[in-house]
Amino acid sequence: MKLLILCLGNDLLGDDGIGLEAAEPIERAMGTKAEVRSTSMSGLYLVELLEGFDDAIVVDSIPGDHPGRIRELTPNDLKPVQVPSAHFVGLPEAIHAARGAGLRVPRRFRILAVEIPIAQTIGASPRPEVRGALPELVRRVTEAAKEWGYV
Amino acid sequence: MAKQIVVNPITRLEGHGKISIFLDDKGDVSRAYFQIPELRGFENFLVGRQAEDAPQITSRICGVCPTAHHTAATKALDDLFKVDPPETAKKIRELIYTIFMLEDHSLHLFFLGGPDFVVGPTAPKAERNILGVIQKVGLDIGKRVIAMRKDLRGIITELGGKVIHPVFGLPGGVAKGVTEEARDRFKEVADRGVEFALFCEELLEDVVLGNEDYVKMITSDAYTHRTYYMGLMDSKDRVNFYEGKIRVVDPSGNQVERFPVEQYQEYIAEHSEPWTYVKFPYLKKLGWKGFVDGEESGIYSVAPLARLNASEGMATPKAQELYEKFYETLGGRPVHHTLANHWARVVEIVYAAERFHELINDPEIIGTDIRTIPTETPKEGIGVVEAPRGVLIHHYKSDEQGILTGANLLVATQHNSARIAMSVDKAARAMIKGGVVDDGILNQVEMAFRAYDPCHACATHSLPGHMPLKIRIFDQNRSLIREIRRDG
Repeated sequence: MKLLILCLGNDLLGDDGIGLEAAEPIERAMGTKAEVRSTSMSGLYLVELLEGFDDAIVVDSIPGDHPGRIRELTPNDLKPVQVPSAHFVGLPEAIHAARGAGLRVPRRFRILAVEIPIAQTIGASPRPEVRGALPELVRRVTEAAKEWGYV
Repeated sequence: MAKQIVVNPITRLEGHGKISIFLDDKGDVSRAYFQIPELRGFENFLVGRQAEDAPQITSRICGVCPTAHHTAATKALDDLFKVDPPETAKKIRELIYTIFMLEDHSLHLFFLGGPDFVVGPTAPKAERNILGVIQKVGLDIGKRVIAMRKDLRGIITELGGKVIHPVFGLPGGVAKGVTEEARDRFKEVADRGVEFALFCEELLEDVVLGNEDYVKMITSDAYTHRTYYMGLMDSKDRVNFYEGKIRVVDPSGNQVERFPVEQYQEYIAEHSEPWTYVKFPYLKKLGWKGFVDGEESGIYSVAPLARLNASEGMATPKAQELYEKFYETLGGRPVHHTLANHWARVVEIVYAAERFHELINDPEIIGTDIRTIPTETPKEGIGVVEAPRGVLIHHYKSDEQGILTGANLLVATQHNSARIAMSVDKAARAMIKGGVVDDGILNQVEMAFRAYDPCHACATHSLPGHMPLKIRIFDQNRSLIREIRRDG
């Protein structure tokens, strides 16, 4: 059994970089029990990162009213939609496409998202209230891994 | 008419692309607008940074084409520091770039173009996705496409030096050479790449061109604009993704401009409209005449069809054959049918694969002279590449310490924005009659811009990461009568 922890974000969009910042502490906490991958790529590029794992925990940001609050989404919250451009493809479409093509991608997903302000601005790092979510985020990722028997 | 319509600017709040369609009293279209949110500000973010950081910073603008921004920025740095990279370095850059074009074009073909053509434009929405394509062409083919892309991505990662974003480009060269061992492995991928490209071409011929209805649709007036075309060309005016001069042809295919990228501001100007943040570039010499096509209008386009139209041919043998066939079938150069972009993209897939094969078999590719160290004081630099979606220009200014004092990025979708606006309007007028709007009709309107694969707000990443479309239809009194969100 192989667990992937996929950390997503754009480190030039300030708060959106929170997923990427989480990668290092998560890696420290998980050791060899999971593979941690982080990327700013999007859309179908995620397929290549997901391939070959049984389970996945996705860490990302989500626009919301309470910056720093952690929300757990279910895969049902992320239904694939028809998008008009390769640039508009998100995680749900990537998972859907990979499964459809018969690739070995995770069967189970846990999705943990840190709320960030709705209006995104360009900047080098997340604001303090967003970054403040890191300890709880790491704890919840570890718990999720434990529930699946990886830890 | 346009001045009566108030369309609120889209903010990042919505995260939706938007088409607003205004109907007249007969239920026909009086005007359709296409808007997508745009994230600007990267130019400001660059100011005060070291010039050498630009290839790393700008590669984060887009989650889909980091290699294009990285390479354009690197070339702008060559110019900024007035340094000419050794031949091996240029070839390594072009090698990586060509592989990127091959994998990006194949993504578009199967994921975006494929659903329209392989599955059918009026098929139920649920089937018009890559799964529909895979069902239609077979699971093995789907696996083959994804496996090929994975191999190509693997090479970019290995040569690019980093999983997230490439870091190979340095002013005056590249950070890492190609070893003999790696070259031998890549050769094998290149062989398969050429086979794969020819397979894409066969698929297009069988499924699309073998179907009279599709050919009729591609050539229909609803998707046709007689504009100018722009592309990067080698010394013989053949398509080149990595270097050359920018060539512009008129709607009859005659060359009207041919200039080095350093002079782009003498040839290109931008027009603003009150209903969008997007600026519409046009040819300075002809001026802005509104959203109209023809010889008098300065509107031009970029992307695969424009590149082929602006060229005299392709630099590799099989791609040249296909280029000739393309124009024979569609009635000579230039072709003005927007939907021919999908076919033009296949011609370029074949070129990219053949060029990859040429470069990896070039003895110089394993050379060890990969960097010329810059010695000049930096001041101003401009670089260009052909991104998958068209001409991409990076322009930087710096102080004598190499700290950036200004930046201007002219991305492919911007060049196309006027033509995209015309395409959406024209397709809506042609498809919507008497107030009848169904899913198949709306898809045919969307197809008008999907062929360009527009890229505006691609820097965002927050969940769910996708951007659906919102289509709003207004009656003759400007009242909203219907709103459709493309998220199922």
